[in-house]
Amino acid sequence: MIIDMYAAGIAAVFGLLGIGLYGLMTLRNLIKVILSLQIIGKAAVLAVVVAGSISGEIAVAQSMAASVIVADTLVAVIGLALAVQMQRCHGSLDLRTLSMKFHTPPEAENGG
Amino acid sequence: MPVHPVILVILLPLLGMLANLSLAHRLREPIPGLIAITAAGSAFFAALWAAGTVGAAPDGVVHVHLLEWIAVGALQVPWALRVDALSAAMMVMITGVGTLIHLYAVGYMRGDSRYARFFVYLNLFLAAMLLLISADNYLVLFVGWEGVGVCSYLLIGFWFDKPHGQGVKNSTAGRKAFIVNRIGDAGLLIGFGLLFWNFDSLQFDAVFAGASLLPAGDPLLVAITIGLLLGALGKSAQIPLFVWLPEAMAGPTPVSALIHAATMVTAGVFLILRSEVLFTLAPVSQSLIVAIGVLTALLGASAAVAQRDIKRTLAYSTISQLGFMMAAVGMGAYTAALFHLITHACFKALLFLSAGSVVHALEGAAHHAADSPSTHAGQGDDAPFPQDMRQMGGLRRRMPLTFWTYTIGALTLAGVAPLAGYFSKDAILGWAAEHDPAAFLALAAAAGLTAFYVGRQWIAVFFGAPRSTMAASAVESPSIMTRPLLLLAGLCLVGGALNLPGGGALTGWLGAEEESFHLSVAIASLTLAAGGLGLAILIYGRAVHRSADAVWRDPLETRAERLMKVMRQGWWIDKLYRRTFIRAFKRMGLALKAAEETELVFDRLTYLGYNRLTEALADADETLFEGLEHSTTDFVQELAGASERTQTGQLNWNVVGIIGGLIVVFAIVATIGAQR
Amino acid sequence: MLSVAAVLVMLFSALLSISVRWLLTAALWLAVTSAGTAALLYMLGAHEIAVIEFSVGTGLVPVLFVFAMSLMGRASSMPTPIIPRTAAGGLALLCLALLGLTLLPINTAGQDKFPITFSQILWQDRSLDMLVQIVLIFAGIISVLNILRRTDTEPPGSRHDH
Repeated sequence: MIIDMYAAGIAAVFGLLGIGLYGLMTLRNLIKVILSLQIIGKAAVLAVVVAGSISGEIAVAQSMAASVIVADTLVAVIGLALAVQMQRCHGSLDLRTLSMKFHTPPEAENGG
Repeated sequence: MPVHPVILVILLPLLGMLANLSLAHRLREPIPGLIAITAAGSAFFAALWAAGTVGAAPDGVVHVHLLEWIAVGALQVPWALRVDALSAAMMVMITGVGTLIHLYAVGYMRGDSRYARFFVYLNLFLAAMLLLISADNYLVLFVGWEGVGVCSYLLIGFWFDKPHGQGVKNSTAGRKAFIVNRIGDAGLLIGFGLLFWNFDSLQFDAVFAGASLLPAGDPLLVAITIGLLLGALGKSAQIPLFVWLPEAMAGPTPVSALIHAATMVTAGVFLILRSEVLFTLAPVSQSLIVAIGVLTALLGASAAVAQRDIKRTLAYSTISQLGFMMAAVGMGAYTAALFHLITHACFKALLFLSAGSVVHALEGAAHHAADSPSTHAGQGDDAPFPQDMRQMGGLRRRMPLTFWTYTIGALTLAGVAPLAGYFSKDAILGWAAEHDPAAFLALAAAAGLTAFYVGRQWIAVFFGAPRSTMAASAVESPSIMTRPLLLLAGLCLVGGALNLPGGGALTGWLGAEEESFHLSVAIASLTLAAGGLGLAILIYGRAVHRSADAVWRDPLETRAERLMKVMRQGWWIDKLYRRTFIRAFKRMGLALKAAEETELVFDRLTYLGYNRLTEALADADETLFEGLEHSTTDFVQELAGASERTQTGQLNWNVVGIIGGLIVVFAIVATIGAQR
Repeated sequence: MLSVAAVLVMLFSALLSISVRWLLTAALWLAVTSAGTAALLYMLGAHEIAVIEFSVGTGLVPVLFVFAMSLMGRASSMPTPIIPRTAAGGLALLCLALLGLTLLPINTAGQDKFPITFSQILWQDRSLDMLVQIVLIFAGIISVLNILRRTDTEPPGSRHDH
């Protein structure tokens, strides 16, 4: 029974990681990108806890997971704030449009 | 947990930094400086206290466990400090010289717009440096190592907003120092990785105990020591990674004295001293160190002969003296190396601060002249450049105190008998004569050159007629700047007593074997010092007196112009790098730029970072290095052509790149796991 | 059995959250994913973290997303991906497969090595981490407030250096 739970946990880690990576590769909306990062973050939290649970050091794993959650939430917060700024200043959240916008000809910089 | 004074030693500069950082915008000018001085000075007394505890400790080593840091499986890295003879000696030296330089900086930085920030950086530097030397494992050492690197970067580019492109040059110099050091640090990290991989620890005692079970000359030890050596070469500005130090002189002079002469650059030597056990077991690495040290000593000394900038001369001199120390540690003369490290800190700090006093006075005079409208006549081709020795001369009368302190520093560097530098250099030369005659000859030649270039500089700056209006109207620096000079000069006078030949205090302190004293070597090195100085007086003494028209004519430059030019540019090593690695990298950048949608980050990296180098390339010599350059660039260009399609600047593609890298890493790990 | 159900819910909602058109819906599905994660964490024995994950992941983060969306208006376009979906999926699967290979010999020995409680570790052994995290959280809040505030005083498009 307990082994089943580990297997389920590992499967969840792999599934979430895969979905998150897939999202990072295919999504073009900045908000969705941050969302994918959140999914990967959950995979990380789960992975730490599953590992701790398997090796019997669940308490240590939990304290690590707390750090992961904090960092992950901060990434979301700051990422979202930056996305808001992007939308306000450049009027778009599309990665392709934004990367085109930021492309300044290097010759202009080269002179200075 | 019993509180050990070494905690205070690190904590006090840190507190000073925090105080200045949080209160900077509320405090009026001298107060941030006073806070910083208080922090540094009290750290000095704490260091003395800490040094006092070493004698009572078992085995002469105090371990101080502060906090748990990394505890993952076998990797146990706590925040732990270690006080033993080596670190205590370094600690006292760093805080002592550091306090004097802080005092000096209060005068030097007066009126600077980022006064408080300067002292924040200076205190942060002290804290990082002290952490580096009192670490008990390689990872804590690395934290300090990178900390001092960051401070060095911040302080080289401290005047990043100077007008006329000077600011850009300053920040480029900072970046160069940082990047060159990263190359060394890569080696260092590989060394650490190998250490942990094989000894399951990064704690010094555990590593050394594990290493001493291996046979001498074990390839593993050679690999580890070469990794560590690479880091040391970067930090201590040795061949081939010395190119950053001459340009690091862009920073304020107290920084040049503290970081780029007295303390940080000795960190590489310290690392080898600390890992003495490993290096003793790897004779191959040791002979490599000797070769590098000797070559660097010669290169630095010869390049110093041809410099025109007062601070660059001293920078090359530092490179050369660090070469002496490196050669010494390579030959196993650990006590002599530490002795020279300490005396060098005193006399090079003295020389730099005296030079800074000269520059400060000339800057003040130039400022003054620019303010009064009557004297702005000759502002055409010879714009005042206060660090150029060609525009100095005759400062002996205008700045008597600085002249005398500089003279003491110069004589110490040259190695004249009762001064500190004589004993420490002689200890290295004596050891070399006994163990490695070839190295002895080369080091003796470098010592002769040392006396010559310092004599040249001494004459060019202080004798003859003033060769510019600045020099003619310079006035002695304020007493807050000259008092540290006097103290340092005093240290140079008596510092030799620290380790007199035939069993001195330092040897006893370190518990090392007594070094034998060679009368013939002592006489030889004195003759060399006297000969070098005499030659300088002979060649330049007449030149400065003859040039009544107040123009600097270097007799050597008229004789051997080409050679002097090559030497002035550091034997063109910098140029070689520019024409191979950097040009290749630049071409790669250009090719990548040509791709349809250019990558945002890459553009920034390539173009901002190498702007100055493009300029430099424009006037570079076309005939040299062509073949070498072409083979490299062609290869990189092909590589670039293949990879340019992926550089679209879109996050999605970047993620694909990351995942591709992950796949490669996982594949490697999986195959290694399958083989085990 | 419950754990398998939690995993299924989690993966299903995660997939939906990256594939639905509306951002608001996506944020809600992310909350469901988080709830599933919290449930699984609880079953694995990490009770405290499960509560934290539930409150942060299901409470705070979706609210942040909704707040951000309310600031910029609802965007709902689903442009065609730059990287073909099949290629992306293949790469992700390959990556996971190799990761799985490296993890194969999972060692389940050493159950309950240290009978220490979570709170002991968190507040005593890792007290420094805790402090740093608290500082980090405040730094994040302050920086976000700064970022959001600056735009209120300046018209869009006139964003020069301070």
